[in-house]
Amino acid sequence: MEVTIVIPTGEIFAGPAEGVVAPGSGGEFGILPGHTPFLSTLQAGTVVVRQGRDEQRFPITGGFAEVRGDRVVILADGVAETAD
Amino acid sequence: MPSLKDIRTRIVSVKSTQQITKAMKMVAGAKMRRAHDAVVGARPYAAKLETLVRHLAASGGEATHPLLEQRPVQRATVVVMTSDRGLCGGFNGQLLRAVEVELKGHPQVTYEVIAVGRKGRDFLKKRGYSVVASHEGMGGHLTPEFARELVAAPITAFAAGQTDQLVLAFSTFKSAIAQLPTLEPILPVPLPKVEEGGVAGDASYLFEPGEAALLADLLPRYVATRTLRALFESEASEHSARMAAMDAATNNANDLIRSLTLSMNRARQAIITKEILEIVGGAEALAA
Repeated sequence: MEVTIVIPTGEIFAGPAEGVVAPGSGGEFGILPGHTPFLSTLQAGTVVVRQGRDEQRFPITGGFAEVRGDRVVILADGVAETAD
Repeated sequence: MPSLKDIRTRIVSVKSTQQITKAMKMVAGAKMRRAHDAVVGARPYAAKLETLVRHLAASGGEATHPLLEQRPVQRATVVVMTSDRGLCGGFNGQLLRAVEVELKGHPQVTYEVIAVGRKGRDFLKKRGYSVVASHEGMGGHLTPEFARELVAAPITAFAAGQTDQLVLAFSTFKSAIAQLPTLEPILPVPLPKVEEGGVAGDASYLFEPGEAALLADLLPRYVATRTLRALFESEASEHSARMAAMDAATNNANDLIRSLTLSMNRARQAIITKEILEIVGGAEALAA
C-alpha cells in the first residue's frame, strides 16, 4: 500500500509500505493492506512505517490519518523534536 | 543650463541609487524563490486536507458544525495581508483598493480588520476602519503556528456568533510578474463540492472518534491551513512585486544616466568650442 506523510510545510514521507502504526486519539492502531476505509484523529506520538524488515519512525505532534483503498495518508500537524 | 559640475554630481547620485535598487532587486529575487518554495511545499498538505474534508462531507450524513453555519452577514472580519515595507510597486495599493471596494460595497455590514503587515494596518486605520489586531515583522517567519493563532480569535468569534463571515484578503502569486488581489471567504467553511457519483463506497467510512468530533478537529485546521497558504502566497507576491519594481527602477536609472551623460558631453563640447572661438578671436584681434 502507498503511504504518504505530510506536514503543513511539506511532504516528509511517500512510498510503499507493508504496514503502518499510528497513534490514534483513541489508542494506537495498526493498518495493514486491505483495511476498511477509515478516518481518525491522531494524538502526539510516533508513526511507524514498516517496509519489509525495516521500519521508519516519525514522531508527530498530532493530526489525522485517512485510509482509503490502498492509500494511507497521514496529515501531521508537525514533527516533534525528539523521537518517541 | 546646469553647469558641467552639476550634471556630474547628478550622474554620481543616480548611479548610487541604481546600485541600491539593483541590490534590492537581487535580494527580493532570492527571497521570492524561498517564498515560492514555501508555497509549493505547503501544497501537498493543503490538497490532502481538502480531499479529507471533501470525503468527510461526501460520506457524512447530516454533518453539522458551528463553523459550517451560514448566516446572513451583518458582521464580518477581514484578514488583510500586506507588506511591512514599501518600494514594491503596486503590491499594497492594488490589494487595499480591492479591500476597500469590498468593504464599501457592503455598507450594511460592520467590518473588523485584522492586519498582517504595517502598510495595510496604517492605510485602513487612516481610513477609519476598525483594526482589531495587527501583526508585523512576519516576513520570513511564517509558521503553521502563526497561522493557527491568527485565525484562532475569529474562529472563536464565529462559533460564538459574534461575527458572521471571515474573509482572507491577500495577493495570489500568479507568476513572478503577476499578483492577483484575492478575497477569499473561509468562514463559514466553504465545503468543497462533492463530485457526483464515484463516491458510493464512502458510506462505509469508519470514523474515529466519530464524525462530529472529527469535524470539530478538522475544520479549524482547514481554516488555518488555508490561511497559511494565503500568507505564503502574499509573501511570494510581495517579493516578486518588489523585484519587478526594483528592476524597473534600475532600468530607469540607466536611461537617466544615459541622457545625463549626453547632456554632460554636450555641455563639455560647448565649453571647448567657446574657448576655441575666444582664442581664435583673440589671435585675429592681435593679427589685425
